[in-house]
Amino acid sequence: MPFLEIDDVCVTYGRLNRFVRRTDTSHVAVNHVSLTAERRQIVGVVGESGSGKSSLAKAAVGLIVPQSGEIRLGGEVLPRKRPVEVRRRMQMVFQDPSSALNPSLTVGQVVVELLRTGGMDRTTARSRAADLTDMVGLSTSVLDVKPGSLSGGQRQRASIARALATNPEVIVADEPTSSLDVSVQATVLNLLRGLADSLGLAVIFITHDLGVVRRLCNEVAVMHNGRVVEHGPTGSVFEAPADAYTRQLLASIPTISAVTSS
Amino acid sequence: MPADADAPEAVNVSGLTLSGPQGLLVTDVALHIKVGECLGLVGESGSGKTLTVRSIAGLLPSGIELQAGRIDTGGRRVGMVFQDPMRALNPTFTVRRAMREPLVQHHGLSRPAADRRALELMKDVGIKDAERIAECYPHQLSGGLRQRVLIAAALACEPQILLCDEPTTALDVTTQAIILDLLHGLREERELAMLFVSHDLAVISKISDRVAVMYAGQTVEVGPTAEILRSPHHAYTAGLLRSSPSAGGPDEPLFAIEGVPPQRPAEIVGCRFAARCPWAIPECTCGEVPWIGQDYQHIARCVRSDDVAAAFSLRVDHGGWPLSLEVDHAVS
Repeated sequence: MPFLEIDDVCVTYGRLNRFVRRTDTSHVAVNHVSLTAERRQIVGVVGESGSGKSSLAKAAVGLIVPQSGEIRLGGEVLPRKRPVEVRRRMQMVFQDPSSALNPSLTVGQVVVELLRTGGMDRTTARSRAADLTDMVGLSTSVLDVKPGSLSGGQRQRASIARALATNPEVIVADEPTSSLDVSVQATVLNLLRGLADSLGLAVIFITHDLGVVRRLCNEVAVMHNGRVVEHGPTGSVFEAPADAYTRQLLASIPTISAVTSS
Repeated sequence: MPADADAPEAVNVSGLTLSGPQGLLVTDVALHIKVGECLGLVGESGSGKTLTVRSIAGLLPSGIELQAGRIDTGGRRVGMVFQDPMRALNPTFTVRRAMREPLVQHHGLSRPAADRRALELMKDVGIKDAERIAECYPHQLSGGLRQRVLIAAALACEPQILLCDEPTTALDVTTQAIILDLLHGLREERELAMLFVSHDLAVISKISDRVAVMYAGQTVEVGPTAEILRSPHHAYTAGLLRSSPSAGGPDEPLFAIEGVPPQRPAEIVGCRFAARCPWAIPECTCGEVPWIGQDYQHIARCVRSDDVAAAFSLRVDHGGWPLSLEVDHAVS
């Protein structure tokens, strides 16, 4: 039985009527999507904007309630309204690290607060926060600094440290490197790979960059118009894409190794 | 395809030095672009590439001053395409009104004539139902369409020089390929001199004849695209090439350049990349590093350029990085 199972999930958006019920559910963002991830596995979800990949991510961590379908973690079905203990088991790393961290708190305050709500006393929380920054490759001095004075790469590492503060079993990363430079991107990706291996995390990695998927993910699911059109081990999807949309996506990756076709 | 060797220069920037409140931001940047040529400008955020482009367009943000240098465009008209089409278009104007303004203001067209011309321009950039799109507000359009509208607006004054500041960074890969194709076609058709800025060498390699690499407010390497990709002469360029996800086998860990860019680059003596450079020797930080290169076609500000190039080509020869040596300009 897979560790994380997303089973036949649908997410719809629509207008709210005055009784705050969804009346118009015509826009289906995620359409009967199933996906699984094991511990120590990074599963890539690729697709263009509007393909429903971010909605799927939000449904997975419980930020939006899916219309139908269920999500199972370690065999148990997660309730539609998730209690805190369940939410702590799945954490999200967002695309834009500058808006994901509270700008008026220091990195230390953000992380310590989370640890304290998990029932840790102040001194243990403080030293755990130092361990976490160490784990993501930052010096402990960033704990006393506000996110505004960190570089993009450092900020993304800090928000990964924040996600790790609750000791999660699953990390859902929504385009974590899209706002970073190519040269910085590599360090954050290597970090995620290392954390998945060392902490036994299952990682759902949302991206539109297939080049990144090829280097990082064990499995890949390609989304188009809310559906998964192709799903399989990364190697086989890249070598023998079965779906026409996947082929189109693969053809549009700008590679430095551009092959002469004309 | 490279422009004619004897084509006239459309843009000539020399000794460009810009300063802001925190000190020098861009020092001694020199660029030249021939008519019909595309120069790619690559570098990390904060390396000064956007400021360089803006100074050519005369759009320096307030607080940034031109300390020294000469920007010569020979009186040619300049158009600019911005990174984020959502922010570059006024959200309260319909596309028609946004397109009309430059035509009325700069070309003195009447409103109906401007509207007709706007529709033509939108068709030129591949917007099929231009009449319908003209009535839309920016938020009603997809990212790709917004970027097309922005390109059409940049073409309204028939520029001879087109500056593109990360025009595809905010777009999906599939849309990016289409926009790159469009820009490539426009350049051929209109013989534009183009400056294309990106932080992604892979994108740059698709569209540029030559590449200039910026690091910490300086240009560190300039040369023909194919040559830079085949044998980078500056350690930073080599690192940038290696860190691209498309370089390297699927099972290799991604390569990352150690360290972070310097906070106050202008205070560094010698090579600004030395602190992060695996090839650095004491000579690198002795004094100003001269441009090195035999024929001024491919030059780099690197003391150890020969060693860097040799080490890089060795890796390529041994199949370390699957870098094909040919660069294809037909984006298709």
